[in-house]
Amino acid sequence: MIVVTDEDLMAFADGVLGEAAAAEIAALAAKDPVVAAKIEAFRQSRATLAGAFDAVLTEAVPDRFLASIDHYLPAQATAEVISLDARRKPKAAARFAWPDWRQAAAAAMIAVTAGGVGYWAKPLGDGAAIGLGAASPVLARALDAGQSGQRFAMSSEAGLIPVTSFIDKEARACREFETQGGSSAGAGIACRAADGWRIEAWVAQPTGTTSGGKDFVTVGVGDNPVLNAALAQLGESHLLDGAQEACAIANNWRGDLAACVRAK
Amino acid sequence: MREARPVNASRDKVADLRSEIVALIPRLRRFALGLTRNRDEADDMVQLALERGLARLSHFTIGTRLDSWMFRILQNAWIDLARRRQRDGAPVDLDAIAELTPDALEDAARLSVQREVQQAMTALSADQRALVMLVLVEGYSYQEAADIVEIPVGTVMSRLSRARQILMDRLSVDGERP
Repeated sequence: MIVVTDEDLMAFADGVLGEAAAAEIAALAAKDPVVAAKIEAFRQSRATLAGAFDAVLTEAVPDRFLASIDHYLPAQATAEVISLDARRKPKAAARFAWPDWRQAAAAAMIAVTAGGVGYWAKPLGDGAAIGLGAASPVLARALDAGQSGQRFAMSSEAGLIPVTSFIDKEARACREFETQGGSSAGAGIACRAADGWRIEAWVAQPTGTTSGGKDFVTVGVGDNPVLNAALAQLGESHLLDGAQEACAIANNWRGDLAACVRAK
Repeated sequence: MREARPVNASRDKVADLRSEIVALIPRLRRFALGLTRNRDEADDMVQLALERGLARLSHFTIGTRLDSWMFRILQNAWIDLARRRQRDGAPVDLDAIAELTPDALEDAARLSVQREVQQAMTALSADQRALVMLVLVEGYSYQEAADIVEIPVGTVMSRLSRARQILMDRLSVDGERP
């Protein structure tokens, strides 16, 4: 008479018992209904539990988890730097040409599309005409440290690229940026306020536009009416070149930005 | 134009590690939800585990399994919490789970299974719950689960077989009632 433990029966039910032992237990189960019932209960426990908690798998990952990760593992800029010359050319003149009614319409559009920026922004702010609220820690870090054209990989899909840097009419540092990754894909503008980066405007990438992998050309800040209107409201007084931007990054976008501009 | 920076291997590794941790979060939440029924508490545990894990990332050997490592940290956070509860008394939260996704019928059916299972899990000890989640939900082998919770595989098997019998007793009794 062999001694069969509950652990043996469990291992048999889980299919991890060796061939010889499995054969013995199968034979035992065939003639002992108590053993067979136990095996069946072990099988059922796995079947019942296997998917019982799966609902949470498809829920959005809370921002606070991503913020924790970002605190310890800052998103890194990748090595490639994309040429932004083409983007830098069509500036100023065309941007400030939008009539006022169009700015109002643009502000309304921004409100509608603001939901998609969730990954990048904290909950929306105080209802200013265009302001969308404080940048998330993830976005703020990329805006603080990234040269224009550097891609910051946030996860396998999500990424962010600062596109240009400029000084607005209130002498604040502002940056245009593009975001990648599902519903977070789009383009926006953030400005450095005393308490950190604030998203001034953001538009989702129009559906149908693709931005796979390193090809980051998405909305295109330069030709989007919403962002152009936001730029017009901010009033771009000076577009930083590479050296000036590096100076601003080194100063953490604070201090005397005018000195960085003069240092040309 | 700016010059491209030279490729830095360690940067790539950091980016990989980051992606891997982000990808692991849904499973960590699922594990935590099996350990405690309270959703907020589950997410607090995940947050605590993330913070602990990230702070000790220098102790993680790149190339070994990050999932096992993070599950171990989450399991330890749970044991700490369970001990504190034993001392301070447990907050009970039966209904929070009902708020998961209230408007989807399919989800409601699935959640009622989840609720029943969670109810049955209250009969288990903290150790047993962790083993049930690791082996039956996460699909780890007995040995892998033993490595995660750092107890001998024989102990895993005896605790797990006992836990599964308790669970099935509870679930079948509940099922027979109208």
